[in-house]
Amino acid sequence: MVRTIFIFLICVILLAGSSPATENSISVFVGSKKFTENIILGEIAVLLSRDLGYRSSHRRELGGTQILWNALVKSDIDIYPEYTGTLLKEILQSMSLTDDSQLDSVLQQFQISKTPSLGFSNTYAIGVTKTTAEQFGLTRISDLRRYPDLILGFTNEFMDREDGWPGLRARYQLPHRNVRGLDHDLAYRGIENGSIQVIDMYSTDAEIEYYDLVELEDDLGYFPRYDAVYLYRDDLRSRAPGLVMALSNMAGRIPAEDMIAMNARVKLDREPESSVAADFVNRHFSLDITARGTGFRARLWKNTRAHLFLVGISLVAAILFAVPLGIVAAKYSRLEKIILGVVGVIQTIPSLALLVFMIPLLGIGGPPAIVALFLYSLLPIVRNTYTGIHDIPAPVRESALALGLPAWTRLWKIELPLASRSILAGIKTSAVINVGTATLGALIGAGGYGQPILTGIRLDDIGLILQGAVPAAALALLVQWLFDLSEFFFVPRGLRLKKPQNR
Amino acid sequence: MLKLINISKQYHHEQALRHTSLTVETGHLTVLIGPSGCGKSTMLKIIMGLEHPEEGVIEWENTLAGVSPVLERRRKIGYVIQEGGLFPHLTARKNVTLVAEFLGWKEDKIRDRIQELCDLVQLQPELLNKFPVQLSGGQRQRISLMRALMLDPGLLLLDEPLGALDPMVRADLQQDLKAIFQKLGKTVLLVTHDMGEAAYFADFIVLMRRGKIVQQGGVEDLINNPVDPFVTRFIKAQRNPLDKLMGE
Repeated sequence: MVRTIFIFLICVILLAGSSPATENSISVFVGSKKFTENIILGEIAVLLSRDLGYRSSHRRELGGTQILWNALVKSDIDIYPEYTGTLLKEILQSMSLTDDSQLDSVLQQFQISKTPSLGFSNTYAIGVTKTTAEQFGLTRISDLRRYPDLILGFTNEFMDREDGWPGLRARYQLPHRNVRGLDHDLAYRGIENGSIQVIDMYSTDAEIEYYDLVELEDDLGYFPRYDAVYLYRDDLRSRAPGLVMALSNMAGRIPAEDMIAMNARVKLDREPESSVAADFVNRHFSLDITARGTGFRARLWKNTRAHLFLVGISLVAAILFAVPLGIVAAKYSRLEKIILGVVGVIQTIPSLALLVFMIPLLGIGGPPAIVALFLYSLLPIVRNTYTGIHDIPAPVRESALALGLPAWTRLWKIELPLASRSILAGIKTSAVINVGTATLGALIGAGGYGQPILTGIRLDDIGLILQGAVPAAALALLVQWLFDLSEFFFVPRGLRLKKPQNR
Repeated sequence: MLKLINISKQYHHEQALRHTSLTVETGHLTVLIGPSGCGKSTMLKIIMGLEHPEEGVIEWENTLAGVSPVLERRRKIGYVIQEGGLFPHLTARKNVTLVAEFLGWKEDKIRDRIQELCDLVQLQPELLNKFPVQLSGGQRQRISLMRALMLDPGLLLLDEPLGALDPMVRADLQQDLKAIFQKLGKTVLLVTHDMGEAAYFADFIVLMRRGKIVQQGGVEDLINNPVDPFVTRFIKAQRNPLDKLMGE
């Protein structure tokens, strides 16, 4: 059994680790949030740095502001596009800054700098459909106060942010009870089909025009300015001075209309972000860049490799850790409650929260995702190992003792083989769940089948969602099948025989 | 000689044994009998070191049992329980040879010993390749006995070895067992709740009730000189179908 695990482990490492050797040049990592505009801006930064000869890669569609900020502070990424209002109200809220002029000096404390505004402000806005606006006579956010029965649907991040719903409700004394948190891209579909009536929007969203939405006037001046800027690490000045110059050169280059138009090309016309970004830099910096697209197969292979890497490493680690833990729980009644309790509690931590907890410790990408998956894999394995050993019939257990076999031999020769079916079932459960949960890894830049799903949700592209969902489901089935097959090797024959029918 | 001196054992709130002492003569067969919960199985478990008494000592081969390591003691005692307790994941042969292999016996020594034991318990050697689920209850008990005898222990403990068998198989096995015990001449301590079985096997019967020994001696002693009305009641509790013909 141990040998098989090792072979499996080695295969996974070979599969996943066979990336091209790194060249000896300066690498620049760009991050972006998981909405179109941010990805385009990230892509622009990538193209600029590649043009200057740096090795640059884009960790796109990371799960949220905190993830990006922590990654930047930990120098897992060097650059990402941010908005001044978000800095003020969300990232640095504990400093209670009042205006943008203080930002630079505060950022210095983190060894981070920002560029001047890129030329547009992407402020939060509250929107309704034109029909709703006319029906209720809504023009200002204050008007909402008169209609407490309206259904509000806000981005999950907006629901919690300092500059989001809690503050908005307090400022405008909004009485609404029916408020839902949902994904930003799904909100537009929700408001279109009428299941929600009021949403938060980014003022540069292409959908505002597309869905014919009306932006309600912020009559009490609640929302700050959200000027788009690049945040970058100070050490970039010495490592890649040309790039810092180029980023600063971006100041004022993108008026709001241009940004909206670029967003529309990606979201409505389904052009890849990279080609929209390439057009932009070609026009503004007189460069000649063609976006590098990746084919379907190459993408699938890349995602499969990343996914197997996440699942394989975390599962093997979980088996090596959880089986002994289950044995200890079964053997020492004093530890039983503690072990099963702790492992159970881990399971209840929401996956995104767990991923975010990991970032300050492990950064972004594979490692935190693997640790999170490892933690989620523990419960089924620990519990089934515990149950398998605990439920060995008393006469069998007693016989093993009575034969005078030492504890270690009893464990290897008798208890583990007898518990093998249960342990294997636990591992199977973990593996199948793990394949599904690993799709969340994309939120923190670990790649895998979650990447096309995430992009597909953002672009409302069912085909793209299926490119992640179908292989993930197929992999889950394959894993299930492999484990069913492995019963043949791991479960002793005497346990697989059926009792002869009683006459 | 095996001596249990002043043993007390408590399970949760239940007193299983109360200051009980017992002497088992070497080379004899002693039957422990009594109603359910009288503490007879607990006695065996304490001898095996599977349970630990709160009070009292065990003396065996003139040493205190606590002195020799428990694993060694267990290997010198054969133990057979009601359903056999065979390991379901191992073949019958592997069940029998497990400990000998662990102790590093040579292959031919194991083979010879198996042959001897098959002859002794009258088991067709082909059955050794089967798994426990593929065997009948009687066959399982014969294999369980082989397993207990593999290391040629000086003492054999049997806890209701025939309790789960149907009457015909049971009668056959009783006969075989008696012959085996006579042939081996080992010290045997057998637990049963069946007075007929006890009378069939025993040189010496120990009747227990509520964690104490009520009376010990030959069958005749118990029938003719009961120390307590309970003894008579226990002996008579088993019905004989022939009573019907005799008229009550």
